[in-house]
Parts: sequence; C-alpha cells; structure tokens
Amino acid sequence: MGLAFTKIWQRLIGKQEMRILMVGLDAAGKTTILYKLKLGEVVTTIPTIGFNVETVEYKNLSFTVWDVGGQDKIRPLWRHYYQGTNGLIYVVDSNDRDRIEDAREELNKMLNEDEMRDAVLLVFANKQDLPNAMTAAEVTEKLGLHNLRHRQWFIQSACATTGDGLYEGLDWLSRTLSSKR
Amino acid sequence: MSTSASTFRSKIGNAYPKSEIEDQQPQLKAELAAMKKMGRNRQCFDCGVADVSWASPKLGTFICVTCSDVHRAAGAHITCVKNFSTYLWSPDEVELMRAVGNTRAKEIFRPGTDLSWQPGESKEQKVRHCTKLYGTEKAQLAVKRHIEAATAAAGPGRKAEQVASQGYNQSLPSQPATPSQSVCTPAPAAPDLLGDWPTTEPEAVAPSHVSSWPATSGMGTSVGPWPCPSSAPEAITAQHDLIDLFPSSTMDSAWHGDCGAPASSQSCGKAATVSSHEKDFWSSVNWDELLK
Repeated sequence: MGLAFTKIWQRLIGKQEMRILMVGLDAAGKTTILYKLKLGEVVTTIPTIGFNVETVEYKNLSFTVWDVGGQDKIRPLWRHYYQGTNGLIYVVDSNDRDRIEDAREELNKMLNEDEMRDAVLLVFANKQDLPNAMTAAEVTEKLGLHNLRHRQWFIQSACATTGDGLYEGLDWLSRTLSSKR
Repeated sequence: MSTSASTFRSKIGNAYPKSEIEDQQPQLKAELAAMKKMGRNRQCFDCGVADVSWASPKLGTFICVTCSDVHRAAGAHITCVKNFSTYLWSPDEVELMRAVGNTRAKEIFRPGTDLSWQPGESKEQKVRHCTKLYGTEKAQLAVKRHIEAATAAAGPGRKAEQVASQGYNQSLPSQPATPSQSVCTPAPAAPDLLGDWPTTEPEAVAPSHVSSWPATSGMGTSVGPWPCPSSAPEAITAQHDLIDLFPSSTMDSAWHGDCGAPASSQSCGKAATVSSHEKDFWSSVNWDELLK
C-alpha cells in the first residue's frame, strides 16, 4: 500500500525511478563518476571490490546507480545486476588503448544477454584529460557501436575528475528513459 | 557462460587462452605470495607502509591499496595495477614481478630516495609525484625493456593481436628450446636479474592454502574458478562480503589443488647460444668442396 502511494506521489511530482547499472573495465573511473554525480566532488576512492550504489536525482528522474567493480574475477558477477536495468552506463578509459578490445568484448557479452534487451546504453569515453586519449569517435569505432541493432545508445566524452560531460550524458539518459515510459 | 573460448589479455600486452590462465592461477598466485615475503617486497614501494596487497605489473613493484589508487589516477600510459585476489595473473606478469620487484625498482626508478611520496600527502600531490617519477622517457624505456624480457622469459604467449589467428600450446613450456634440447642440460633457471628469488619452487605454499579453504559443496558446478553466487545483488550487503568470496589466492589453490604444472617456463639461454654455434658450423662447411 505504501509502495502504491509512493508511486502515485512520484507520478505527481514527476520523479520516476530508474535503475542504472554502471560497469566497465577496472580503473575506468566508475566510482569517481558515481561520487562526482552524487556529491559534486572528487572523492578518494579505493578500487571497488564489490559494488557501490547511490541514488542520484536529476531533472524529473531518480537514478539508482549500481557501480560494480570491473576487476577480472568480479566481472562475472555483473550478470547478477542485469535484472530490471533501465539504463546501462558503460565507462571506458579512453587513455587505455591496449584494453579497448577487452572493453568491446565485455560490452558485447553484456548486450547479448536477454535481461539487457530493453536497456538503453550510455557510454562515457572517460579520462579525456589524459594525454593521447581516444576521442569519442575513436571509442565508438573501437567498441563497434555502429553495429549495434535494436539499441538506443549514446556516447559522451567525459572527464570524471572535472565533471566534464557527465551531466550531458545524464541529460540523454533522462530524455531517452522518459520518452520510453 | 563460456570462458574456455575467450582470451585473457595481460596488462603488459600478451594474450593467452583464458581457460589456461585460470588453470595456472594456483601456481602463479603461490609464486607471487612467496615474492611478497622477500626483502623490500614486504613494504609498499611507494609509501613504505606494511601493505603489499596490490602491485603494478607494468613497473614490477609491490604497493599498498592507497597507492594503487594513485597509480590508477596517473593513467594507463604510465602504470597499471592489480591485486592478488580479485585479478587473474598471467605468466608474463608474474615473470616481470619476479625480475624487477621492489629492490631492483628502487635502483631503476629512484636511486638514492627511500620513498616515492609520503603516506600523508594528498592524492593530487601523490599523482603528480607518480607521473613525474614513472612517466619520464627514461623510466618508460626501462618499463618497455622489462616487458620485452618478461614476455620472452615467460615462454609461450602471443601478442594480443596474434592469439586469435594463431595456434597456441601452453602444454609445451620449453617449446622454444626443442630443436637443441639435447645440449641444454641442465636447463638454466629463468634469468634471475634480482638474485633474491629462491631456486626451489615455493610448493609448500599451495597445500597450506588448500587446507585453509573450507570445503564448500556445489562449487564444482559453478561456471568458473570463482565461486559465483547465484544470489541477487541485494544479498551482497557490503564490500567485505565480496572479499570473503575471494580470499587471496586460497580459492584458486583449492580449486585447482591438483594442478601442479609449473607455470613460469624456464628460458634456455644456453640452448640458444649452442644452437647458433651449430648453425655457424653448418653454414661454414664448404659443401661444394665436400661433394666434389
């Protein structure tokens, strides 16, 4: 009953809840992005062994963002977070050219899962402040995003430590998810 | 989930079939555990605290969790990090750690200075030090040399781009020496650049890990070498719960407790020398003269 009221209230004030899964290879900057969005500041993080979850209010949406660690042995656990995911934020370290192929494989594996069928995809080409970082266009090509079928996707170059690009990405997410409802 | 067909890429640029890397974890983790107990490897290379739960497989240094974050922030073009529990390690990375380590790294990266930065400095300051220390052309040249040496010494392995198209046989660790194996006795140990690596294999490490891992039923049917919970994320309540799922190296030891294949192949420098002598001999023979 309480839940029903909450839902009606959210409809009235326009706050819809969205479940967002944020993944990517280790050291891509997922936790830094999460806390930059949540607190507006760069926190000192330690490599995520497990996950972090925060609610981020943005425009008419309330994003529940699950940030799951990207280390080798943690990646197989991503699939436990798929269910009910409205949006997938995939974070890429644009400076790490050696592992972009790994990033592509992991992304494709995930998008092929049935539970992720309806999830929209936002890619953050992060760490743009580092020298020789791949541009969003390069990351698009290397991830093979143009080959995606039946998927709404968007790529945004970003720098988590300055916050550049993060809200542009969230803008797209909120617009896309609102129109889907 | 099919892991057998997928490729594992080491952080120093070599590719291996993932299933084989998974099988080798007990041995590789045991080697790393033994290295961590030696000399300067017991303290964080950068700030000196008594925590070496992380390492930079690119620089070959053992470091603490706080400094691992500094390395991550400095960028993958300079350094990268791994811990000893939630990552898979490959023979080339272990070889690099063995060949460099904290003692030699001090001579390479900062001779005459004890620490890279003070533990109390801010993260920004530490990242600046990190970039300055390891990002120089000289430092990166040393890194490149170590990577090449470790890649050569670790035996079979392919550059990432080659592995997909070429065959690969990890079960032949001394493959490169095969043609002249008869003159390669005894096989010299892999080049010991540091001199602080015991010549005996640290076999005692693995069994103790095996016994310390509780016999959990049903793990054998799981999808990988990690115990993969079929629970919803909600069941995982805190980060340390997950850490419990991955006790450092113990899980792997138990999982492949009977897999005793030595992972780091021994390089056979002598064989290469002899074989080149042989080659010189045969090429020096004047065949025209003999066949007259």
